[in-house]
Amino acid sequence: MGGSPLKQPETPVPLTQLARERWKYSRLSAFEEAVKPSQDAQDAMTLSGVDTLDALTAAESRTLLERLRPDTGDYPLLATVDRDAGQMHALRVARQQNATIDLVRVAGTSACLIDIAPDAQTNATLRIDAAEASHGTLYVRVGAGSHLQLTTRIIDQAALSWTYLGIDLAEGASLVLNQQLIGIGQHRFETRLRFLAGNARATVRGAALAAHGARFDQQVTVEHVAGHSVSDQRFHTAAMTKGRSTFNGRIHIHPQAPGTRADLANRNLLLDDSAEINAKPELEIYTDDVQCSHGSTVGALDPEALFLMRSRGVPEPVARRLLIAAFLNETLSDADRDDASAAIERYLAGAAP
Amino acid sequence: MTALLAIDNLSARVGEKPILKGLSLAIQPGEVHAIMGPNGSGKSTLANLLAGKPGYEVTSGTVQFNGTDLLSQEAEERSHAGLFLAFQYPVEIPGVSNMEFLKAALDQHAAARGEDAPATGAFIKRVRELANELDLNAEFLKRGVNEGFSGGEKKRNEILQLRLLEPTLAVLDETDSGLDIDALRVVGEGVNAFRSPTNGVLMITHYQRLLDHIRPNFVHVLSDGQIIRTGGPELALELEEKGYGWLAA
Repeated sequence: MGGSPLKQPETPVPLTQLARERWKYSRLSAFEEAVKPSQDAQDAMTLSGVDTLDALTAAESRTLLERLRPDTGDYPLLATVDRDAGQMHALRVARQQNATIDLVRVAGTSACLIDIAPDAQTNATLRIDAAEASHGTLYVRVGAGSHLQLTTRIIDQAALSWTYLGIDLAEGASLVLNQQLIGIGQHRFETRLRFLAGNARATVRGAALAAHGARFDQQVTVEHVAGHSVSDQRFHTAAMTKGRSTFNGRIHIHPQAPGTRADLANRNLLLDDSAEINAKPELEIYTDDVQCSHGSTVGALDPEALFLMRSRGVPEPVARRLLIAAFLNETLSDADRDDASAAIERYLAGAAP
Repeated sequence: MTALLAIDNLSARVGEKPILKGLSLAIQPGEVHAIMGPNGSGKSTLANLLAGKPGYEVTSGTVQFNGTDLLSQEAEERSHAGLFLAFQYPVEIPGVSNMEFLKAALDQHAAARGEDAPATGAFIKRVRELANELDLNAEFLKRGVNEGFSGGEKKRNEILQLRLLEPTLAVLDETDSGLDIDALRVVGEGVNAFRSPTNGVLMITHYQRLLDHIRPNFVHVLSDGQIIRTGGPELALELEEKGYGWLAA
């Protein structure tokens, strides 16, 4: 790792002085400048589908946040933009409840805490739709035997954004996480999943298209704290003219996590000489008896596939669009894909000669 | 009568390596020609070059297709003009469904003719019919192009594309490789259904067994980039018995 590890500094170090590898490819000053005192967290986000949900008490919120909030040394922006429990939207999905929650960050700094009780079902989206720079956190605890389906969506957002998403999974919990990052702007998205008990499962799919001049930075950490759980991650990213993408995917298997199955596949398409991809998969294993795989690839479109399509009469620009869309479609879930697919088509059509 | 395909003194190289060395061949409408020859003789180069695959440099000679200069056309233009290559190793394209792929191809052919895209209902019906004839499970339409297909299914999918696009010249590059006896029969029937007095077939093969199913008018032996012998179907039988050594000597 570049630089020295930073553990809860007494005096916060200015972000621009950080040389940590995780920030190596993002222009920190842009994020630092965008961190401004913003309006009340309650106005930063619109929520729907929450009428039937209870609010957490202040004490409950504090306790839960203490568990979920990571070491800010690992997430330096968090120290600056995170909110106190009292300023967050704090919700509970009750036992056996079936909830559909839509969260839209519209401005400033948003903060939301969701506690999903055991044996509940939650279908949620987190979308950014902000005209100016915005930051936000979403913390979720998925209770024992509960299921969370979450789609995060940043499409066509010209304004800079930074997001921290932290999810803890209890015994037998399951998560399907779909992350969409499509278009322009500068966006950094940090995701941390923790398996705190066994028999839990997470399926993570990410589709990113960095169009003209976009700067995307995805940082994903999966921590298997307890054993006998399964994580399966696949991220596909394509970078167009002057688009830049950074992906760090880290799997950390703790000493008390035998029987873990963890896979991470990251594939990247460079679509132009001016595009840039930085990708690093990391795997740290501190126990025996695990099955893991991790890998990143960076390449161009498959010339054989391109030739097959052309030989069937599909002109090269059309064939390229079909192949790029197909590559991204592989990591878009069937549900929630319409907006993303339409945006992808639009950017690819604009890019065609 | 204008030849369907007229190759005249064609030489080509890949990188610095000459592969074809003055090859000439003419196919008239209605004819089936087989090209046989040892590994490395230039068979697949000829097929890929005719279809317009990048990476081949023509150093001399001409190719006329229906009286027009083939070599100046892009791969997609050659397809629109009626040339079809059935691949030796059809590539898998995950994420693009067969249906989407076939529709894109047909739509582009219609557009090149200045016509509207075919109606989706009629298109689906036609694809199902062909899939049925070729013993391909209709489920394959939803899957990615050739994704997870067996070798035989990939080749049958090539023939389905051939039948759907209705070209005037089909170039079959070792379509028999990797086929079991039943699949070979199905593929042979597919190609025979395509044959007509106005179109032609150029099939490249190592083995005589494909010629039991698709009866050629002419058999050529390609060796070191040139056609060194031309005969009727009996030549293939002779090759099967004696190998290529007696010709090259």
